[in-house]
Amino acid sequence: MNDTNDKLKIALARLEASAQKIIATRGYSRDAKSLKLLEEMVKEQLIHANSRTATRSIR
Amino acid sequence: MRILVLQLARFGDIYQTWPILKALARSHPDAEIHVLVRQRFQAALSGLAGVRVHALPTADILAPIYAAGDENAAHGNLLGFLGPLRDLNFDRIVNLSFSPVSSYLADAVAHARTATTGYTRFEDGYLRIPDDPSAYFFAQGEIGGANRFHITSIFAAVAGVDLTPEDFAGGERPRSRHALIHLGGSQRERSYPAELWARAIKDICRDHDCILIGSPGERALSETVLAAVASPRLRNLCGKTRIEELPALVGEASLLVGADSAPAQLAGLTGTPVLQITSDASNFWTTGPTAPGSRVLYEAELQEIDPARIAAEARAMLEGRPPEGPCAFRTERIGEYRLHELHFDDFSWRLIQALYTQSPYPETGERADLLAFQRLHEISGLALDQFDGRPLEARALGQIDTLLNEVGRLNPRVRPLVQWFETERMRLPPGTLEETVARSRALFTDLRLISSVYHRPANPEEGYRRARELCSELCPALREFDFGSHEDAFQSLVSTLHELAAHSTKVGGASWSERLESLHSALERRDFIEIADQLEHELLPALS
Repeated sequence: MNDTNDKLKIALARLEASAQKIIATRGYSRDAKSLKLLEEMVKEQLIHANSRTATRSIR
Repeated sequence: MRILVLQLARFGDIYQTWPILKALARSHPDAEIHVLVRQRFQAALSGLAGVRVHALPTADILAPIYAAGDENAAHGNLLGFLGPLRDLNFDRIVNLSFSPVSSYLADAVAHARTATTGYTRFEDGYLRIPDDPSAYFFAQGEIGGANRFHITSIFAAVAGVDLTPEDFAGGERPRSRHALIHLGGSQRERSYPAELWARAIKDICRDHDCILIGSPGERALSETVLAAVASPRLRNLCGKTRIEELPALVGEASLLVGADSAPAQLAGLTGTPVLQITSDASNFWTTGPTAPGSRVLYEAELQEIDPARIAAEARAMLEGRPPEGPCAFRTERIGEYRLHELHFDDFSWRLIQALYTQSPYPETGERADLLAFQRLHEISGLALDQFDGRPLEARALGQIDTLLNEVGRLNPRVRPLVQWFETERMRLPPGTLEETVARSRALFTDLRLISSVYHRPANPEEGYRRARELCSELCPALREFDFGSHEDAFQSLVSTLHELAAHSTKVGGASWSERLESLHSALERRDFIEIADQLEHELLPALS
């Protein structure tokens, strides 16, 4: 589990850096959109929120 | 026309989405309706005709990261999934999942001409909530909030459809006389203890057959209950059925008993009455059962619900009798619950209705409410001052946000107004500084106008006397670090000072805004000695 979490955290850090770089140079482009989406998908795994329901984070 | 509905939540929310999909198909007979759900919960769409189903394969997309930490390959997988979806060139996207992922997904699949409702992103990547129903849910939909609109109605509003009872129909079956009992809940705090379940079920089983249902993870719980009830009238199917079999199981039962979970949401489609046990861990007004004849038993904590109440109400429902005790109930699928011997403070709900539906503002004589609205009135005035004739202080506006949220935290009854305001601010689109200032100023003006409904102008002399008394009361307590039990007095002092600030520009040698900012800064640092020093050595002499 820790190994998996580590992989996710490292991947997330790289994705955040890539997305920031693209947004800074090319704006919120299609690449930036898909990277941000992937970033959020990874974040969901880290907070066990793959089962996130319709409402805001507390639900 | 091609419409994509995004529903990235779990089984229960997908069941609540069925009526919306049917209503969209009914109101757009020539449209192609697509729906995107997570692969893991796709089974909740089993049996739904006339809709093209897409599944988000999260596990497959992320597999390279899990296997080798390779986010580039994962990105490639994601692009491979998004490409064909985007190529469908949707005319409309209806995002019914209020989550960050869904907002990025809606944006990534949309084209320039796509009309999107529900969460998406602005052109600079910030969260965009284009429609009022989604903004309403963002502001008022939290657990513990005062919303009483059902989630299905909110979904329908986001999709822009009017629901009819027929949109819920289609899952009805010939019923047998037994009750289904779902012991688990979608979260631990929504689960009722095994020993209490056993007492309730033993009582129901005296005259009625019951069947336990649930996931494989709930099998141990079901076996504990089965052993404790020890009745030939009780069968256990927990962990022995697949999700696709659930509609038939629920549809054939005369009653479903359980907490807030997917089977209870499914019962809305099969028309099976539900006896739901609920607590403050969920909001039955929002996600409670929709089948006519359903009832809801409520206590602040789930385990406070007496098993005898569950048994008595279940027996009454199975035997066609009216409510036995306090409960919420519904006679129609659409609309609010009605209450039987059950009472809730509805000030906040009426405030929500006033904010969103132009109903009259509710009256209150509560000092705490008047104080909170007075604070909001003063804070909005302070913000408007920031926009007038001086360089915009971003830091000051940040502190104003903190103050607003603090008012909502200290008095939850006025939170709907704070949440409405904060949400509307968040919805401001990207623009020039002038445009943003103009839009912000308009919003703060609205906040000031709304809070002025409750504003009571104070007599300045009385205010000075009150402020001196509060300073004298607070100083010794703060020097003993006893802020907690004097927090109300402190808020009252700050409020009184704001009131006095409306009558003069300075207090002693300093401006009111400097005094207030200095107090606020010390409070942020939790430096109670500093606050006491300010009150004793600066404010008290200045107020005298």
